Amino acid sequence: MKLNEGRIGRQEATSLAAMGVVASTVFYPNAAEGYRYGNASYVAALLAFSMLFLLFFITVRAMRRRGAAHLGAFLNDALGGLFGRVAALAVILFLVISAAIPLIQFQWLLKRFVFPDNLVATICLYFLPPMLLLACMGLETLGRTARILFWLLAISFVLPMVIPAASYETYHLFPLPLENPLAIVQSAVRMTAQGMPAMLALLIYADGVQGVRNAEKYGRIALLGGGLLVVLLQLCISLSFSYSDLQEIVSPLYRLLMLQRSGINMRIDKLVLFLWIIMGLLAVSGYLYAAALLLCRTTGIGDVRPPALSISAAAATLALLVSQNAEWTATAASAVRNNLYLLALVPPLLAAVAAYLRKERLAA
Amino acid sequence: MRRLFQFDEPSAEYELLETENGEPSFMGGWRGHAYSQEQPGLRLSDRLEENLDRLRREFRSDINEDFIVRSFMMGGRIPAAAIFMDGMVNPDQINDFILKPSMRTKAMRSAKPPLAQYAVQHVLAMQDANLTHDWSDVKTAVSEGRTAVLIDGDDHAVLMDTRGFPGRSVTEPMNETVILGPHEAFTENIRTNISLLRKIIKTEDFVCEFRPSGGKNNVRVAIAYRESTANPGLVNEVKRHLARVDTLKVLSITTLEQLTETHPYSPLPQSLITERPDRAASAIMEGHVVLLCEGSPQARVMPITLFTLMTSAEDAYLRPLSASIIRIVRYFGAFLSTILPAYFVAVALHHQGMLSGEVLATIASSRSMVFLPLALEMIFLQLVFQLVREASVGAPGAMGQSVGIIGGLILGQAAVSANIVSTFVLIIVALSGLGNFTIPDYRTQIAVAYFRIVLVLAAWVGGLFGFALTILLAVAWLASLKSYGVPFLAPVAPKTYAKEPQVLRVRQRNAVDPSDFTNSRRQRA
Repeated sequence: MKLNEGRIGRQEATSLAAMGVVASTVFYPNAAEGYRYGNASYVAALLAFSMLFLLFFITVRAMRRRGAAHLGAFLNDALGGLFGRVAALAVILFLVISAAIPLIQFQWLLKRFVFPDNLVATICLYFLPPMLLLACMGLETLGRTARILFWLLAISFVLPMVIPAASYETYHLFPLPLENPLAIVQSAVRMTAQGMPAMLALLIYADGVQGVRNAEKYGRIALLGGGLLVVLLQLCISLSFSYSDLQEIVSPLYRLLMLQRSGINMRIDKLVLFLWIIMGLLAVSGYLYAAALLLCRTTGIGDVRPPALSISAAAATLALLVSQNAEWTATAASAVRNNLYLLALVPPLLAAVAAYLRKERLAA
Repeated sequence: MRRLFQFDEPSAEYELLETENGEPSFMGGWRGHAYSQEQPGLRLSDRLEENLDRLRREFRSDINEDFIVRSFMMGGRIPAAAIFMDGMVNPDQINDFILKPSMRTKAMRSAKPPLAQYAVQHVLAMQDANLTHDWSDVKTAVSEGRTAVLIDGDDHAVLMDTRGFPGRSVTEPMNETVILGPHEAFTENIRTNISLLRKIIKTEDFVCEFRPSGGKNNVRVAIAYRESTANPGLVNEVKRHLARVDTLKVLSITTLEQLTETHPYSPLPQSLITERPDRAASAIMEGHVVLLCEGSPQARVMPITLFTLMTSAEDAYLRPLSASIIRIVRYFGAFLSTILPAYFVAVALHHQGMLSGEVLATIASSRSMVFLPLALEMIFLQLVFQLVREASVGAPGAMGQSVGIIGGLILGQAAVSANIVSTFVLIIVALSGLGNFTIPDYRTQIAVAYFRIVLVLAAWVGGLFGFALTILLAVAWLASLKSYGVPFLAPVAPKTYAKEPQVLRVRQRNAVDPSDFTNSRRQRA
């Protein structure tokens, strides 16, 4: 077996999961949706992370109830051989799509703010080598890289909150978001699905973090830390722009950095962007590695590297296709976006329900 | 079908374990398997003449005049012979403690078979005498400068340590000099080196295992560690790596290092080479394993981390605050050395908006007459810097300094005057070169020097984006490295209980148990 799994500790696992949570929820291409019904992004984020926390808790408890070592074994155990494999494939598909989403956002950010003369396809090619290598290097490498870069990357998210502090205006928070609570809930459900891949990945390599009990602990810390950061970022965005402006902005977070364009501040926006890209790539590679690992476990492949290579290439292709902005890809992307939460929430929830219906089995 | 629909299927266990056979290679096959050092041993004959004929034949005594077979009558009645290599032995020892007592007429008066054992117990007054019946042991011993005594009627040989070849005495370290702390360095003699370690580690659990290096030149290595402290898994790992060696020659500890490393293509070393006994002893006390090689005035410390490579011998002897400040300066120098040229190229070529107008104007004016593209200019100057460095290292003695001055000052000035390079780039290369010298480990210096050229290329092609991706890959690669099972970025990633070595030096505390990333025996207890 060459599954490149190894073992990682608390700080590495938490760093990797938190990066996934932040990258997937902050770098989402369809930002306008969140701001359609009032300036509700921070409320929706708060709600989304509460739901994500609950969902994660339910899934982990169900896994522990059935004594499953990781998500693959849990789906297999709770849903049976055939349906378990179907659910596993759904999770793999979800992880691949979730890996492509931040890539699309980064491609557009780079195209718009850094390399306006370059083709999106050229920019996409740059992402491929590090993504392939990181996914193949395995869990230990990913976890340790995430840990060593953690504080640097955390600072890169604190800066957009600190730099534009002078331009925060409370009137931007109006109209108050409670006018359309259903829209907020819908937005929160979508955001829950966005934050889900990091948690699913953590559960897939649960035995790599020395057990489901530890995965639960690390996931909880990552959700709390990452969630708090995302909510604060959304609040800062809401304080800085009106909701009508927000619907037009490609990346509100990046625009936060550009609000103060005098002195040294104007010189760090691109630097911070590249730090975000590093974080995004780490998170994405974590998803791709987890998807490849789950595929290995589902199909019995003994080496994680060939599936990791092909899955990474698939995610990059997906990102490239969507970025080409062809009509059919736009339609397909919209359909996927609208129904992604089903793919994210149904397999673990179904398995959890099945596990609760069946009798308890203690972990060996 | 039954398996597909089966509930309660036990989950498959996946575990990556490197086995004795190594690990599967990406392109198939296996790599890193251990070679068997065991060979079917030929026994000695109990007939002296037969053994001597064979020895003369195999050592080519007709050509090798320094191969000596000194025949004599043991106790005046039993034919025997002392075999040794002239020039490698101490003749006084052979004369006084082997030949003289053996040739006394009463020496073997009450001798009964086995004769060799009797001789060891009653006749040969040598401190180190062993019996063997293995033919290859005899040949190795003679090649190493020991003396073998063969007695007619016994199929055992007595091997005695009579080594006395000329060697360098203990001198001051050449490269790891300190102001405070001891001024002794290892020598080419492995015995002297072990005694230098024993002088510092006066504990009963300090062991030194001798093993063949695996080279056909029969050089021996010694594995030194504290038995009660070192992690047995680590010791076994070192032995396993050594067992892989099966090569034509092992010339020094660095040759051996290249043969036993897990990542042979890594520019960064996975072990520390030191010429200081105090540094090696300190590592042993903390649970590390040290390897000594015959003919090498250095010891190899395993395992290490990136932070170990950034420490110098002096750090331990300075006050914590001073040592910490020096280390911060060192890390800053290394950071500057690695990042600065590529960052400048990326910003100047792709992201001019990140520079102020004044800086941009200065760069533009300094480069107005330079015909080379900026990135090529940077790479060219980096290579010239390496050229000067190599030339000054290669030049004998005091000439090295002159080469440095000629290369650095005159060549630099001339290059600027001739508009081959710009002053701005020259300053950046000089700064990064200076920063490079703050890295204490020579091999790490070289690795960083060439890595920054890769970074410049990445920055040239992709600006800060290419630069960031290359840095990410480099960090990931560092994170994937292991030194004898210990992650290369420990104790930061993964976090361990150990506080040292990191960027800051903690103060010395009273602590009996070692606390480091080797997961030593006492920590685990």
